Amino acid sequence: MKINRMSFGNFKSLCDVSFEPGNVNVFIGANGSGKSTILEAVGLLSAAMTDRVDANSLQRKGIRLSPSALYKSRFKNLTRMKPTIDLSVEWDDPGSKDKFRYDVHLTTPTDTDYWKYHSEAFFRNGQKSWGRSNASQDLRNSYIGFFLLDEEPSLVDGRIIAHSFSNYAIFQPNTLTLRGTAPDPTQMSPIGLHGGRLAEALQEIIKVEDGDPKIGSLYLEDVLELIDWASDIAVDVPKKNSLNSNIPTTRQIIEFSDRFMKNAVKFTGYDASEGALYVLFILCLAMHPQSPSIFSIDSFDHALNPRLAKKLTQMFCGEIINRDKNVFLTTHNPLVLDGLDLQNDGIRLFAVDRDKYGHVQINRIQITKELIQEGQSLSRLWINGRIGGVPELI
Amino acid sequence: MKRNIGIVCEGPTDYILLKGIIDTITQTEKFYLQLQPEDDLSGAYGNGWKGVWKWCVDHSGHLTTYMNAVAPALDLIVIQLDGDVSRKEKEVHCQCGAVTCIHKADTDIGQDLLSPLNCPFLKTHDCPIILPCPLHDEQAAGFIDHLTDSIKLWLNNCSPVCIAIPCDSTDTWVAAAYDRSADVETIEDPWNTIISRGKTYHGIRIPGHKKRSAVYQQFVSHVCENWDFVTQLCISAKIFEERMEESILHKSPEKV
Repeated sequence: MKINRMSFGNFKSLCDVSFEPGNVNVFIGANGSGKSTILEAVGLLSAAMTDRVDANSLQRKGIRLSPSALYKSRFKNLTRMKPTIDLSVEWDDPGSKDKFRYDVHLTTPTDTDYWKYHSEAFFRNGQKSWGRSNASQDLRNSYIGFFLLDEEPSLVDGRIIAHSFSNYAIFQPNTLTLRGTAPDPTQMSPIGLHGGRLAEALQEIIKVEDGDPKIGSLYLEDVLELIDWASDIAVDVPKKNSLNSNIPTTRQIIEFSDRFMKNAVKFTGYDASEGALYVLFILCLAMHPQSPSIFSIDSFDHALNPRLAKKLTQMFCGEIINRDKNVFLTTHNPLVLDGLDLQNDGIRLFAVDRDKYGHVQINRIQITKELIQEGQSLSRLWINGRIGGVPELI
Repeated sequence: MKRNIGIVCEGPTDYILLKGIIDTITQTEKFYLQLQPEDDLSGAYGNGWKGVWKWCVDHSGHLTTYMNAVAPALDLIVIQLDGDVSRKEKEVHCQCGAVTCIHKADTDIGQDLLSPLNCPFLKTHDCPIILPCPLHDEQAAGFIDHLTDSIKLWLNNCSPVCIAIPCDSTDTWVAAAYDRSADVETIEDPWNTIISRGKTYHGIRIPGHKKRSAVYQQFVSHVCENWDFVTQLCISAKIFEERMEESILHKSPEKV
């Protein structure tokens, strides 16, 4: 499956914007430029396509709940408010030569928690092959999406993408949850949106293959390149000698051996650096067989030293491309950009800026020969304001 | 007194090993800064011997200024290039007196070929360079002399630098520390022929036969503990030790 284009209209600061994603999509931009809103728009689209749209389904996907009136764009230059929020995705499927598109137009809730489907449509090679709307004679429950429910045979091919979208979520880990001392308010399997159940998820992908310990498809030594103070990583039950009995804990905990300490000394996730936990969280998301095949991570660089962020980005991109997943990331760390191989078309960088009206603009940054000849790193180009995605007045 | 040392080397595993070895040789407190490899969008430097060469050329006119400009200011720069570069790479012989080449003349009159690294004829049959080069002995001492002179040429004799030419590579010093075989310096490509041949090397796992920093973190303490054996077995290690002592121990910080 290859997502060719995503379009969003009238949703928060996304007045009318589209972009062509790859497997790894990194959004950079000033604070408040609309990066997180793009991740939320993908979430709204996934909820509409695969389920229904209400406070519950949005929260499950990590979307911030806003007052109903604030979901629609409220720009000064818009003289007439549009009635619907408009979302669209175009894609191909490797099993078919056809090109598909799904459009949905939603109205925000008024007296209930539920968003209404104003219309929904499925296109094959530009021709509408299925649809429902409030205007049709077939008045069905307008609070439920029918793309996955309708028995129309022509929908079968197009639904493959819906299954990939159904588990979409925006992950935003926090340190206390990663350490296991605070519950994850949005727990899901295999790993919660804030990092809950990390130890269990990690244990599920730790294995020994041909005598070599591995985490997912990576050799343990590859992971230890990222956590260079550690000499081993394991998952075990909490023990008195590794965790203070006054600390709340989970059923399973991550244990690190420190290469500078004696062998018997183990650090749990509670005592270890948050960067190490964050690395494991990112790798679990990329490699766990039950993790979503389309997902977002807001603030990908959270808690990471710049060089570690770069190395982790390289490793993460490799695993995502190998598994043909689609991820959407936001970052403020320039070194993340240096970890992106933009010569690979599956890895794409987008600058998010506001135009003179405040509408979000998404511009793909591509590496030109001239840029390469300049010999500057992407991080430097970004910091110097050469590729957009920076605050104008600071 | 604490010294600040910048390291210019072919790769991250060389950096790990050099830090430990310099500590062992000098026995004084030091701060290290990895100057090269430094990543770049265009691969202007990149890893490997070409990266070291480019770094040297780029910093040749202003090494002292550069050393004072980084924080903390550097007392010394250690530059490493594996001896196998002299054995395998035509480019480093381009400037040897034995080579007569019309394209080399182009370089002299300031045309496009600023460096042999950019010469389009080197990898083709048009290149007159023959390996082994008749001007250099095909053994460690010959490689060390040749590459030491080359680095000095690239740097335009800027100092203070200390040059390390492990022969055949830094992996040779690892193999010498573990296996202590007399002819270790004559073995080509010790990583593939000795260290990563099996799944483990002296109990240390080498998963996927791949060079990793985590593996070298485990090698380095053994190499340092057995450094005396390494210098007995490897002339390249002995020469580096002497150069380090000359650079650090026998000179005051002002003169270094």
